[in-house]
Amino acid sequence: MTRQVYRLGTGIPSYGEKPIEDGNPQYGLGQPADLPGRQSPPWLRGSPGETRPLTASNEAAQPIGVLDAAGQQAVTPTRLRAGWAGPVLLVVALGVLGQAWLGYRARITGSFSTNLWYLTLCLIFIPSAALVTSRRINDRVRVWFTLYMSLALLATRFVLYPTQFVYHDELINYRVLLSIANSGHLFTRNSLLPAAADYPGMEIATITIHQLTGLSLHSSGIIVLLTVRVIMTLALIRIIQRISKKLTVGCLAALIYATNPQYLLFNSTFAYQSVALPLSFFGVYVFVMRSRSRQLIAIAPAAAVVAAVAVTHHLTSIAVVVVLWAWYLFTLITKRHVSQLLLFAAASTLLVATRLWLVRSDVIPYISGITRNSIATIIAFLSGKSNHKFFTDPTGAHAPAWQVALSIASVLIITSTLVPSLWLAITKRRLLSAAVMVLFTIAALYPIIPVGHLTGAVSEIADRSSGFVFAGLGYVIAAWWFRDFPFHRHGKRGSFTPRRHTWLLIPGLSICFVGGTIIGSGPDWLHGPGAYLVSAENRSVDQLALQAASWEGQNLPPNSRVLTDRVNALLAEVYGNQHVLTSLADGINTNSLSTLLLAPPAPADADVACQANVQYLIADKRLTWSLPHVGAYIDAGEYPNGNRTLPPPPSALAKFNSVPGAERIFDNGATRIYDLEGLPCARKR
Amino acid sequence: MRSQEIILRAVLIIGLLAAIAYNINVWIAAPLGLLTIAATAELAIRPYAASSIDRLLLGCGITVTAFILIGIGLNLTPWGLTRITLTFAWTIINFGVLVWRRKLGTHIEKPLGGIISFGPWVLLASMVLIAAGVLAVVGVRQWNRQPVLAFALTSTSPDSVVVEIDSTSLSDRYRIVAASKSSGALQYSSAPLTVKSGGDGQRIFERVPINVAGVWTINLESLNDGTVVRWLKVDIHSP
Repeated sequence: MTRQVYRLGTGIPSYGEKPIEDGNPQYGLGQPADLPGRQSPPWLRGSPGETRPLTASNEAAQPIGVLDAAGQQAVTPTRLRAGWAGPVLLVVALGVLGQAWLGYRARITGSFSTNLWYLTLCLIFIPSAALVTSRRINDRVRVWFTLYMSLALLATRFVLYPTQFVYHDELINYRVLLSIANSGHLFTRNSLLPAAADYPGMEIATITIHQLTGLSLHSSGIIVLLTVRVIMTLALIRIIQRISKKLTVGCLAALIYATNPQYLLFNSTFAYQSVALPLSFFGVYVFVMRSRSRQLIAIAPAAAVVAAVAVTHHLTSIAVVVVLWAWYLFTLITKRHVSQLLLFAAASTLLVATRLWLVRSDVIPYISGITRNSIATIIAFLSGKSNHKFFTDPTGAHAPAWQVALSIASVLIITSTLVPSLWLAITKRRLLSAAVMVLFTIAALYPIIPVGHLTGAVSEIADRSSGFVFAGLGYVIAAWWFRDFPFHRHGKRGSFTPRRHTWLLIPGLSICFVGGTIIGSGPDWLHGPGAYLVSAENRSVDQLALQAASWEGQNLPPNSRVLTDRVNALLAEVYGNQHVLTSLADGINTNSLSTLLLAPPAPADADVACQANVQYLIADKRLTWSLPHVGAYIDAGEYPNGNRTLPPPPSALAKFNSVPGAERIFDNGATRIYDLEGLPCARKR
Repeated sequence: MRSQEIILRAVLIIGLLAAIAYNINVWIAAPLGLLTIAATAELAIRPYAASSIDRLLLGCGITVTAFILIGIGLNLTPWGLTRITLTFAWTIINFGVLVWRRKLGTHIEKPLGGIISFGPWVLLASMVLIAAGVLAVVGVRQWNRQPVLAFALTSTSPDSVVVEIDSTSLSDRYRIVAASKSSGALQYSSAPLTVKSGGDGQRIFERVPINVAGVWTINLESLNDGTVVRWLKVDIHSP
């Protein structure tokens, strides 16, 4: 009896999987090969005179990395048919210009227009999405436009902050970079996040470009970010293409991936996961490309990439190992062997485990701290003690109604497409390849992202998982959208088989893009420059704070023990070359020590400073202006216990004006620096 | 590989070495460096990349991977990651790849395929993107010129302290006044100081004489209205 084989495109086995015994290859979701295929919707069919229909990609028919008989790439007609492709190029560029103008205006007026920010982002995303999903362009151009869009979205970050890194994680990683530049060696500890120094992959790439080209460290960092964005976009497209046999599915998956909450902001920052995530995609791509070889050495290139990931980011490298073992597990379940997969998974595990073991003293406390905090937050939520408010930042500022509506709409749209996609997978589960099952499993994790937002601390972790979840989600939804067979096995439409309306695709993607960005990119003030705000990451890095940090670097002994607020701590570490006291690196009691900056004057102040051996105290009197925008002035667990409802009094930040032995050695109107080495108890030590 | 290509690649590698050795202007060194890196990556992955898309992906991927692994390796040497060691390592790789792939020919294709046929649009979009970059940098430069005034201690000795006035975009006249409650302390008042700083900033250092040990308050007073705009407190110890 002939077994029905479902496929989406050409008949090329993928991922090194052996064809099934009846000789028919099977992979992914697709059309029963022995059934007459349902006619594609009109918009999917090529128009008269069009050289290449959208659903039967010529490029998809060409295995990656394989040349034709003449040793040349099989060249396909590349002439564009869409007359509006040129204007799209321009409109996307205008979107970037609009972002630059917003940054310029915000610096002049102090006010950043969030509405225009989203509007200019849509100028980049919507025309690109429309063009990439259009049937009027060929596959190669489709890929270039997908890449152009992803780079343009990344460029929006650079035109808002063109000369320096200003976000929390960026500054921590920049500190690691400066340490390498100054010492020539890796793994120099920093007190802000010791684990960051243990994973210097991004900084190594940056310092190499800096040394080979003479570019500044910041410019070199931008080049690294651009490079890994290219890697991420193209690797995702190629991996999905390998599975689905359609480049169009790969490009749509990349568009869907761009709607993930961390895409625009967090995974575009100069932080280690921004490099590790693309490299992990690249590692899988390289393995897939070489997995047909029977030689053991064939996995060496992919293992080298995983080794690079292993020294770039802890959680990403762990996630890669989990994905590889899940993949292997599914090959056992499906009984379809993937050549070299076991060896690759074992080698990756060895590399990642070795790295983790070497840096366990830094990484384990860091990860366990996050885990403890998350569990405590979940318990507080379940017991009704959580004070987390949806769409509200810690100062009480609420997101506009349209942002709330779009966020919810994006979750609903993704869920409403994910459910039928997963249902499709369940009904066709015996015909899915192991790789596809892995992607479906990853996609099925999507609910943790919106559910994670029920609590404050967990939402950050949930959002960070989106870098992986949306890779699966991109494939699942794109494959479902481009399916070219009756959804129901009997060709009837059922509860989970809604029609696919072309006109719904672009608005749906746009809503998901804006909604996802709202969910993952935090409150409005986080998006760009503007007037100073209290404890607000980028918005707290202003001329006054930078001037103080620069002075510290020139006048204070390096690595002096400094106590200050969250943002001035970052600047003191990066530009002041100081050792900022933190609970993570120094084991200090944050609650007790934070009283030096946040509590009214008390007789015990000098003793508290002495016990922690604080040499310099940096007090920014602007902390009294408002509650902290990120929820803490200094760190979690700071004074007072429980919820703060008012900013600290001015006397809290000026108490050392009158403490005997303390010297006030710097004053720029906002920031005062106190030298506490003269405190009587300090002298005794 | 054609001999012209080998010569061109060798010239690129040597050019990069010269640029680094002679510390050539970054506007020349940076494109040269990036071009050399790209050329080597392209040659290394040539047998595995059938299209320009794959070339770009594989080239970028192996470059970043190679940088990271080379950096880890160099860190094990006593010299670490310096300009010399990185250049040395990269030069070896450049020549190594050139020798390794010396027999490999290539098919040159237009890297951007059909997009390049949109020449005017590409040109226009490029100009807009450049304008965006320029506008962004201009905004930052203006932002950097916001008025700031810092008053700080730079050094102390038993008979004097040196203070610094660091200002940007300010124009005013000030006076430094030092006083102490210690017995026998003489108040010091400086001559008028004219601060006229532009966007690039101005730094003025002033020596303040101290005649007795003790806690001193040093004020920076505006001569316009007599207000204390900044102040410091120092504890001077006996020699």
